[in-house]
Amino acid sequence: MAKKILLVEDDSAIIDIYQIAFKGAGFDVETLSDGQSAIDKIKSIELGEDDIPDIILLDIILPDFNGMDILKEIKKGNKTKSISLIILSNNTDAELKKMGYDLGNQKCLTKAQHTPTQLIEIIKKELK
Amino acid sequence: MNGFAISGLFFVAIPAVIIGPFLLIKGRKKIHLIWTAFLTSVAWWGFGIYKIATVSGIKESLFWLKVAEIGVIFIPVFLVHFVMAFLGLRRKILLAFLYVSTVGFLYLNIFTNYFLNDLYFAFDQFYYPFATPIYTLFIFIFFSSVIYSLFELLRTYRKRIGIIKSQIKYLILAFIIGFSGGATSFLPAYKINVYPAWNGTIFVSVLMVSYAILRYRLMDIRVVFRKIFIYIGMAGLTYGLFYLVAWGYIKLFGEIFTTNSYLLGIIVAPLFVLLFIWFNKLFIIIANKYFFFKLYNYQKTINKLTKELNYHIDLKKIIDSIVDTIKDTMQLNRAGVLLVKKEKEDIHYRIAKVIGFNEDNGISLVQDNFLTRYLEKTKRPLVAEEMVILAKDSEKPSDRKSFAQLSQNMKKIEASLCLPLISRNRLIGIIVLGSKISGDAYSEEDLNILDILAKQAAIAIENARLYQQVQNFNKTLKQKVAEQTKEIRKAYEVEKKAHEELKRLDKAKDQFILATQHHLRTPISGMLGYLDLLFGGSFGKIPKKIGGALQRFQSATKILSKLVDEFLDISQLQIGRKVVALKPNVELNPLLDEIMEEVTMEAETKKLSIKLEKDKSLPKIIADPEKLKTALFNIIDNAIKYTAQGGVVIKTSKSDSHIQIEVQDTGKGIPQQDLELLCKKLFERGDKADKFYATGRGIGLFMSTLIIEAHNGKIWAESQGQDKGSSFFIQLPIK
Repeated sequence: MAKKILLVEDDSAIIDIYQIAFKGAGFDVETLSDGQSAIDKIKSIELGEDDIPDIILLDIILPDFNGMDILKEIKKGNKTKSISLIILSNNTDAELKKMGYDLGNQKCLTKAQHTPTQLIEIIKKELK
Repeated sequence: MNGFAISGLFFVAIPAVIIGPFLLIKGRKKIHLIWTAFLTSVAWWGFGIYKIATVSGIKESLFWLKVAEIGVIFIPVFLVHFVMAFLGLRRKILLAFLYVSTVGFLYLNIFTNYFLNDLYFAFDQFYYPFATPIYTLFIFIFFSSVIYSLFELLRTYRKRIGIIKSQIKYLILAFIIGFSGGATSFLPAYKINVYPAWNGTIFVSVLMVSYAILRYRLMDIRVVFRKIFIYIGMAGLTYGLFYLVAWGYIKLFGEIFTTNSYLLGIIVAPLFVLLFIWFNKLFIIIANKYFFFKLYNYQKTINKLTKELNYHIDLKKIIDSIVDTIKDTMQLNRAGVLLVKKEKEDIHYRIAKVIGFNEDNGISLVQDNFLTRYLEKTKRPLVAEEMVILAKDSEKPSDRKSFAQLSQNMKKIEASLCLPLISRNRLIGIIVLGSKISGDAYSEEDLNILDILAKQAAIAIENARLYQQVQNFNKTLKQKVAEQTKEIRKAYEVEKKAHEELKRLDKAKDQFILATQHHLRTPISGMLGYLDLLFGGSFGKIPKKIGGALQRFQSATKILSKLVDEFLDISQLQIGRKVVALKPNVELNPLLDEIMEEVTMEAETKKLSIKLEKDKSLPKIIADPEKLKTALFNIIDNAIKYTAQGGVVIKTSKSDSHIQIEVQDTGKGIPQQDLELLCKKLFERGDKADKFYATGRGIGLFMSTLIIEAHNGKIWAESQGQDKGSSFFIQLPIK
């Protein structure tokens, strides 16, 4: 069965690129383009109403929510906290840390520095 | 010698003879002269009495009687004249009549027997005359004069106040005592058998009047009575004890002047001395109680006031106490306290409290510096009435004037007494008192007591003032502290606000940077993402022509991405945020190896040689490897870019304090004038900025400079000039 990627991303071009790339690589992709639907999704996963994704790709800067809050929500849930997670951002992890974001041990990738092909490699490694 | 002779000689003649000249020495004013004349006639009479009482023949007695009467005839006219002069009355007709009648009586006494004629042997001791009708007329005029004098004295007594009132009181008392005793001398002339020795009272009278004339204040009837009581008491005790012992001795042994009696005297003497002390005290207590009761009140006053002054520290209360206590105890109509206020050389007085005074008048006194100096000098109470006398007696005209002015001033504000308040030899104020409601003058005792009170008051006032000063100082200090605290708090608030504002701005700035990074990088991510998909075949096979264009599109986008990153890094460095994250134990050589790998392709394309000469024993340093790599990459990359022929040599070396990296090229070089500007900030390059942008060294080099500086390192360039190549030096500290 195809692995399922949950993509939380607001930029339509990026969504388009990743969907094409991930589907091309044989993944199932579900995209959520704002923070609220991400929160709702986590809740319904927690309630067993939705399937558990294999990996979550989380953008930090979203139009309505701070990605950090979503991250916290994910780490709170019993079912969601163990899901593989990569933070995708336009900022480097050092930059995010300096701005006061506590990412813990979370893997953080800068979008512009990683092509979709490279990203897929990383995801594949992550899901092994 | 009988009693009549003794009284005449010792109680009339001798005192009068002694006092008369004494008065003349003391003063030669009209009243002194008239009183001396009066005393002379009294003395004359006294000697006459002595002769009458001691001669035996009837003819001789008549002669001496006529002699003695000459003195008596003068007494009424001198009495009236003295009283008129003392009271300042003008009764010319009355005096003229009295002088004429005196001359008449003198004529009749000396040249005829109408005045005195028949004698009789009185009391089995001496001859005494019968009163003739003329003699009776004389006695009538005599007593009329006495009564008239007393009447005038009483009339004035009721009107006047102060010293003159006291003096009049003594005169009235003296005349009543003197003349009531002296008048007994007339009684035997009418066969009334009263022994005429009562004229001894004249002695007391003469003394009192003389004293009243000479002294204006010392004479206080209570004092006199007190002293007389004590002396009579002591004398009575002495005589009484002596006579008691003598009487008892005679009763028992019959004879007094024996050896045994002298022996007894020796025994009695110490007993007497022992008793004397005890009796003296007893008499003084009794005298004080009955004749000097006010002194008792005064002592109580002093005690009370002292207690209050010690109890209070508040200036106002102290002054209230002083003024109220003195006024009430002395029964005064006015009392007040003025305090000295010194301003430079001028002395002013401030009214602390006054009762009964008109405050508007007070000012004229209180500006008187002569008063201040005088009180400071004498340190004694100043009596207004004495000032009149001082004004007359002063030898210096200036003093005379000043005293006169003072006396006028005191009169104007109706003050009778000024008490200096002296503290540490300096006048700090004055207690100003009016007159006694009774009209009595201030006695010596009063002044002594007031003097003591003033001294206590001065200490209390000075203490209160010092206390007030301390209080004021404390208050000012507290105020100052409060003010400063307020200011500090205010400054702190401002600081805090500024700090919060800065924090807010800092946060806003962070948010802005984050957002800028996000917004600038997002489209580039998109562009690179699509290019990646295109090349990956997601959109099908790419035609060759398009493929080449897309390749250039991709490399341009990569450059754009890099520029954006640099731009963001610079902007962060510019606003003070350290982009470098320093780590220990960073090795430089592997970094250079990585750079070499990346640039070799470009160098080979340009057919340039590139060489890395490593010092293999370089120590590890503290650095941000990623950023340091960027910085070095920029410099090496630049060197390749701006070198057309030859090559680039990179050398590393070390010293005690730092590692050095030299990047040497054979490129177009840098003109001397540009060398200094090279590593400076973009916006400080002035008119050269365009040129640097054009040649492309701009952002990369500047970025490198910022990173090296963030590592506490140094960067500079050297060049021999145009087309002679250039060398960049980078030094990084080892520790």
